[in-house]
Amino acid sequence: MNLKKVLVRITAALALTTIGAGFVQSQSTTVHADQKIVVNKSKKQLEYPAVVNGTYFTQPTRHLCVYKGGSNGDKAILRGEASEITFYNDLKKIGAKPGNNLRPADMKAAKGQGKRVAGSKLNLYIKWKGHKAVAAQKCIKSTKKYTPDFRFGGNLGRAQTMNTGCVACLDSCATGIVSDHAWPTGSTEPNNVVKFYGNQKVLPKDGTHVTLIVKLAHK
Amino acid sequence: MKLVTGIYNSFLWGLLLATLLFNDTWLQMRVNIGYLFFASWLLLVIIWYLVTRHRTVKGSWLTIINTVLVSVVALVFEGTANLLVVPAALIREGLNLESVSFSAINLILLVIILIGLLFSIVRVVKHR
Repeated sequence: MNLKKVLVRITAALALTTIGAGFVQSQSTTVHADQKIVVNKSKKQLEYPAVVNGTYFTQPTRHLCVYKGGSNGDKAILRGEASEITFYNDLKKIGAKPGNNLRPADMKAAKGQGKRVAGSKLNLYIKWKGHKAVAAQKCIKSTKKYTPDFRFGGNLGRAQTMNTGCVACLDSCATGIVSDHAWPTGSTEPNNVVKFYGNQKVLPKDGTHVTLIVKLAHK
Repeated sequence: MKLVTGIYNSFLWGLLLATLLFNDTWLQMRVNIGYLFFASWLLLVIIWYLVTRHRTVKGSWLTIINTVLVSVVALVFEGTANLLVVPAALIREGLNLESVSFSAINLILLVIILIGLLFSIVRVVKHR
């Protein structure tokens, strides 16, 4: 068998795999369409649709929720089903004020020199079918004592240009729309101060549709 | 048959390599490790072909030893809990099949690995 024949066969096998994957994807278009964020101005809260990604029950991640259309769509405990840009605009609709105080250089801060995200304080909860809303704090496992302080970091410009899809990050972030004031930049990477996981004992199984409730905190 | 042996064993090597790479958080957060798996699989098949095209290979024995070796290395370095998630997660990410469950992918992987192993054992027994 010559090399040309072998390469043709390998290419054919890969092409068949791609066609197969495309077929399976085409069978589940409803899952892939963007969902709507429910905005409740009187309660000052958003209900953001997402799906549990069981990968991060055992693997560490710095992301609580990332929009599936972003480059980090598969790198979070929750795979977001609505654009992070819409999420940003909806947060402004409920009166949240973006901090916009972090820069990309802050993300490389040495240990002990990281900056903390500013912006309106937010309370995050997760609920799913047949279950009451649970504070995000309980849905996240941490290698250190964990009391989050989520803020509306803003970062709209970078979210648009970098297209990471980051909705909510678990340490202060210069790109995520929401991130955690309690953990300065560099806490996860590059300084490995803390590691975060999805809490398998609290969250429902991989693939379950959930709602991330983001509520503007009273001062 | 030599090429099938190469495709099967390269699949195992590629999957082991990608599974081990998945533990590197920095890399995992920046790269689609599923793409790395498919790329390394293809590359290993090509290397296999180039290395073995003018040689005789005891493919069945190689497959049996390789399957056992890869399984042991994976169990030692990953543990059962990770093995039930990581290979399935990286394949799901690589194929962009978010709606497919880990258990479905694990079942397919198990069937592929067992078929290759059993087929090789039968061939060894037959040619004794």
